[in-house]
Amino acid sequence: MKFLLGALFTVFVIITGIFIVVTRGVINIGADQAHSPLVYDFLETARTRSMANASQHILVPNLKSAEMISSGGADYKDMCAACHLSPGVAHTDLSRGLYPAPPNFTKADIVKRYQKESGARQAFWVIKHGIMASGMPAWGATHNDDRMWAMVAFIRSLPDLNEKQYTVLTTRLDDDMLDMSFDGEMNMSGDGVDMQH
Amino acid sequence: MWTSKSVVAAATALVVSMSVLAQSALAHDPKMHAKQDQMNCEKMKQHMQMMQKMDHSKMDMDDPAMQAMMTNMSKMKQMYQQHCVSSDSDS
Repeated sequence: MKFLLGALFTVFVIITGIFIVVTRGVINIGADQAHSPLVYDFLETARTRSMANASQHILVPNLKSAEMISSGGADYKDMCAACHLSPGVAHTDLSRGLYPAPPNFTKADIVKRYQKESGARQAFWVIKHGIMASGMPAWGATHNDDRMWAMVAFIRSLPDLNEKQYTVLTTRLDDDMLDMSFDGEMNMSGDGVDMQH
Repeated sequence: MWTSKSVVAAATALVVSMSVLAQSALAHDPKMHAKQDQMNCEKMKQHMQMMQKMDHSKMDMDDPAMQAMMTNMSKMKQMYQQHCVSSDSDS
């Protein structure tokens, strides 16, 4: 009985302590200050386990399709590059200012995990649902699954691209990209074009 | 003094407002991409010049990313020839 009362009292003290600390406002939530290693590891574990658990039943499509990589490139440039960087860009205001720092997808060692099927599933889940209170938005609110899978496909190839290749691969090539000064109808098929390489 | 209910409400409001702020800063209608990316002949000319300087001999053409890039280059070249080369010569 005494042990039970002691345990209950301990729990009460812990909860009260947490309540007092939170309500006093002494926790610094500034993004320019790092978590303590203990808190960081705790949150990191929660994040990675949550991603793995939530994405475990997602079916991965063929991500080695050239068409998919191409369409994902344009979206990556518009939606991801400001934080996750691009070839030749070591940092941006956002990549420097966010905490935790967004992963740099031009680095092969970081993207390696997304080249596995489980990693691809997790990348898709994060793009679709975002990560709470991290700056990572839920793109699923405004984009369909095909577009988000295309971004995953592009990210898996990103570390191998140089600046010029990145520029070509992320240029949006559809009717809407054209300036209105162009005359005539566009033929965007790309068939029969003879490139000299 | 705050009650536990008000603390939970404040924490929820904080998380929701942060999420809304992050999304409103970055989310968009897909058509907005096109507006940002609108091309003109000068921009395409720069792309063409850059592509001509690329060393294609080092590319692995079995790599789908390289195949995608070559497709994009073909499309760009076609667009440039159709809409910029002829308009240059007209002017």
